[in-house]
Amino acid sequence: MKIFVIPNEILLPDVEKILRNGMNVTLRVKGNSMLPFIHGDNDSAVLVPANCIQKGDVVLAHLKNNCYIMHRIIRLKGDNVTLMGDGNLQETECCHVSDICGKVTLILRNNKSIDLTSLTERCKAVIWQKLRPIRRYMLAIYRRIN
Amino acid sequence: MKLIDGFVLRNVGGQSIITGEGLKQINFNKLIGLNPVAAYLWKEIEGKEFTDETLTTLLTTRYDVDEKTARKDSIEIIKNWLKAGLIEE
Repeated sequence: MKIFVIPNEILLPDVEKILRNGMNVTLRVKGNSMLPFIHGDNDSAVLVPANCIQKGDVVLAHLKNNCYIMHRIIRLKGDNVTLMGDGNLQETECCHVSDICGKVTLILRNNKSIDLTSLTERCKAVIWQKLRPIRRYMLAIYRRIN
Repeated sequence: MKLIDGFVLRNVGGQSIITGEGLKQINFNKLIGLNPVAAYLWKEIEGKEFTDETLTTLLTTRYDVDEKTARKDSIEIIKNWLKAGLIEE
């Protein structure tokens, strides 16, 4: 079995097209910007078309600078969306609702699946948001443990 | 023999890959990659019945290969595709 690693700039436009055509997509996630909820290079995310999104959802967004990111919605005002990686300390991204291509519903990790849309996971995310002032230390400890 | 419904040949990043789309979803962790020759054969037999003879002819028509080698390769491809569950008798 061979593993293909396709660069984001080639794979993600196709992923966006597939999602906007109404199909779901499963793909391996890279990067640490969504720690501790999503472990890059280990987890896979199941994305569904973004038909109705709300604050707290983890979404795939196609930003104006042509980058794609998979971060959580921390603010939703009208059509303006503010995103932030769970593993980031301050950086946020802004985009329009129409830039959202898909929503993450499941995280697949080591043969288990975690439903990010469940009440439990949503509560955990809210608590994590409240811990933003000490997020730096929580992440340092988390990285140490893992 | 024919291709099983629900398998679609896509080009992702210059690579020909088969995705199973029967359930309205694509799993990028479970893809089958085709080299250019296999991709050409796939495109030619899409929606049609075929035998190893069909593939042999397609190969000898397009590539500079003798019939014996082409037939051997066709049988090999069919074996692989059956094993991967892409085609049915």
